[in-house]
Amino acid sequence: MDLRSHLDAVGLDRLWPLSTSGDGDATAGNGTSEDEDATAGNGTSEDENGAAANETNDPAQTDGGSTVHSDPGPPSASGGGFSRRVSRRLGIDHEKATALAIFLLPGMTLFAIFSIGPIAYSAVGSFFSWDAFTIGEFVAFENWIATFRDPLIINWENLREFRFPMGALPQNLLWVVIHVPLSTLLGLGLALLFADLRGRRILRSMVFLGFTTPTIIIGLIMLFIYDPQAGIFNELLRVIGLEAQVRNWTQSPQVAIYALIVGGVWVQTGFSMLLYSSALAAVDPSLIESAKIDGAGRIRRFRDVIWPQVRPVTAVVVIMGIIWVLRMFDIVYAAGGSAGGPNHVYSVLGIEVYRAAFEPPIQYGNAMVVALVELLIVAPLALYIARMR
Amino acid sequence: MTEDDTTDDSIEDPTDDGIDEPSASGTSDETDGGDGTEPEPVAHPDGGASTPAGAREQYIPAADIPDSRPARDRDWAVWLRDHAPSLRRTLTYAVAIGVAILWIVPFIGLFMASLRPLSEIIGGWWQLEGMTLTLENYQRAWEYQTAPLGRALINTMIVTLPSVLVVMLLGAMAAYPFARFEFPLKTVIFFAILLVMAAPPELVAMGNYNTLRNTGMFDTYMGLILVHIGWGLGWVVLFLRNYLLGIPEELEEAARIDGASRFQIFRTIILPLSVPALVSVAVIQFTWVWNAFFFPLVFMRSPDLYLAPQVLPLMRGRLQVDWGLVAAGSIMTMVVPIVLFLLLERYYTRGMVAAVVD
Repeated sequence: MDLRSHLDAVGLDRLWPLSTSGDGDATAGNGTSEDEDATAGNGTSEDENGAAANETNDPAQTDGGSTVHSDPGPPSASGGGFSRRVSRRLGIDHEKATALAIFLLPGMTLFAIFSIGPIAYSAVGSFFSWDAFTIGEFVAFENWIATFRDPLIINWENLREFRFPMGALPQNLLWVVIHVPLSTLLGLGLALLFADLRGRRILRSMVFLGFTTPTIIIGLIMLFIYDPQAGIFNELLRVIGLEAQVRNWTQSPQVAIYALIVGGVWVQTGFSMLLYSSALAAVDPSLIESAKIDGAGRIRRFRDVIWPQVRPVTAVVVIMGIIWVLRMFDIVYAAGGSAGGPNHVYSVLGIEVYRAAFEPPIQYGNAMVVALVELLIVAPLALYIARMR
Repeated sequence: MTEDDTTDDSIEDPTDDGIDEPSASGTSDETDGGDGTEPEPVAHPDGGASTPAGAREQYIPAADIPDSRPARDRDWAVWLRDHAPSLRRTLTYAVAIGVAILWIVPFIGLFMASLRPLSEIIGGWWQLEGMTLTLENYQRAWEYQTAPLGRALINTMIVTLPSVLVVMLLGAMAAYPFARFEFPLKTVIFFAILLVMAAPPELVAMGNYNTLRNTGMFDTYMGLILVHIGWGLGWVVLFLRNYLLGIPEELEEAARIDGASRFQIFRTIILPLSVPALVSVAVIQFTWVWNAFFFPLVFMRSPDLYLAPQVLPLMRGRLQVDWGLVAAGSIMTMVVPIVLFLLLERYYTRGMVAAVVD
């Protein structure tokens, strides 16, 4: 997602060293045309080389926007091969074309067939009626309307009273709202706590362990922890005298989702801690030292010296957290099966996609709509990360 | 034993991130004496506090430099007082270690449960008295009747290894032009990759389901492998491209002037230089494919093709959960990615950070 260096590569500044301004606008222009390309030409994108060649050249001339140029190489370095590059560009370079095809085609073909293609397929298919797995006729927004009227997706009545089940979309968003701040803050806290200790690698690995474990196992562990007899959480309640609260937490409709969110936070904190740790390691220790000498207390040192330098990472941590939660499937499936708990009380969007698509009655169109909703929520955030750099 | 008085414990090693060895705090200065015994006065510009005043004057005539370092001017008790970790620091260590242990309590519980009979697990795995250790759970999980975990683990390996290796090769090949050449549609493909990285795996399930059905690859190793490759290529290309952009182009220029073809350059310069990044890719992709649950659930339907993560929820049973069985199966499944992570931790972390932050 390193867009800045990407701009250096794409912006034709190696070919035209005189136009050194950034191409932020240029990529925006191309970016909008991407949807059509993805839907239309998924397998064949490489064959359209000739047609699109002009398009790539265009923006370089029309650019005049913000400068995003990060590491401008010394002009002499890029100017050295200038004439050779231009001639290569203008002349038809068969050798280069063949090389490009051999490098790109195998990977990009698989990528197009198994990633881009299916996304396009879903985007188109959401506007068609489906007979099980076979596409029917064009029905415009019928699937979309049906999906948003489905009480399994949004249950307006219960949502008004904040009573579970509220539907997969509000429940998933609730999960985001609780999970993301918690895991971000805990991650930052642990990163700061471990920052200058000996053996911090071991401590960090211990916290990070959950992130390398299959998430389905995390879900099973959650079941185990909240088990009325064998679970340590209920034992803890017994020890501190809350005997009355002992229950099977993952099967109690009104609290189950919070119990599972704790599990999600438990796992994802390791990830945000990792990102924050690497950001903290990049903070110049002499800055902290001098702040210390100037008499800055711990809080001031954090606020004025450390925080400004780790702040950019926070955006990444938050957005990765949102993406992670919106993809949530395994933990919920392990705890509540494909129904998402008793009476769907902690169903999330991923679960609804799975049930609509692969469990009778099969509603392929609705599954596609739900999956697209997930993408629509996340895509702007991902673009934001990309643009940020 | 001469202690190096210039060691100042207000300077905590903040820079050696990643190479610190676990050793007891504070008292480790004992070992520092080993380095400090050399007679050459070590220049410690930061340790001025306890250095004898004479040593701080600049430009002493060479003859005046003593043969040996000055004798210690503090006694044992003072030294101990200065070097013992402060109360605050001790507390920090206690909290940090406590938190880290708290974080792995669930895993400890899982491990204990995997080794004990069900009757003891119901009573609580934390009850240590009268503990019987048994490997029976592991054996039962290995031979689990619906889908033996032994078979499932082999299936998982059969799917994971090709998915990782092919993604590495194809990803590196595709990343090279992305980092070095201009070609049409580059921006479009780049944004398509970003889009796929943000997309949930459920989004590609429907299309891939029909694709695999129509090509007869549904419910086969090949089908699942291809889906994993297609899904993983996006981030791998992006990740390796970012890495290659950091390799100076002059190396290739020189080779090109010498008449090397693009393929020779790729094989002899690009691939060897990107080994660290490729290892990162291998570790991360391996754990992702190994841990994946959704894709196998959708694309693998015959019990003898089930992958390990797929089998685990089945072990839960209907009424009373057989925790020992579930725990033993989970341990056997998770031990592979965890061992890999611990062995190649540096590559994993570095790759993870680079993949999302860059």
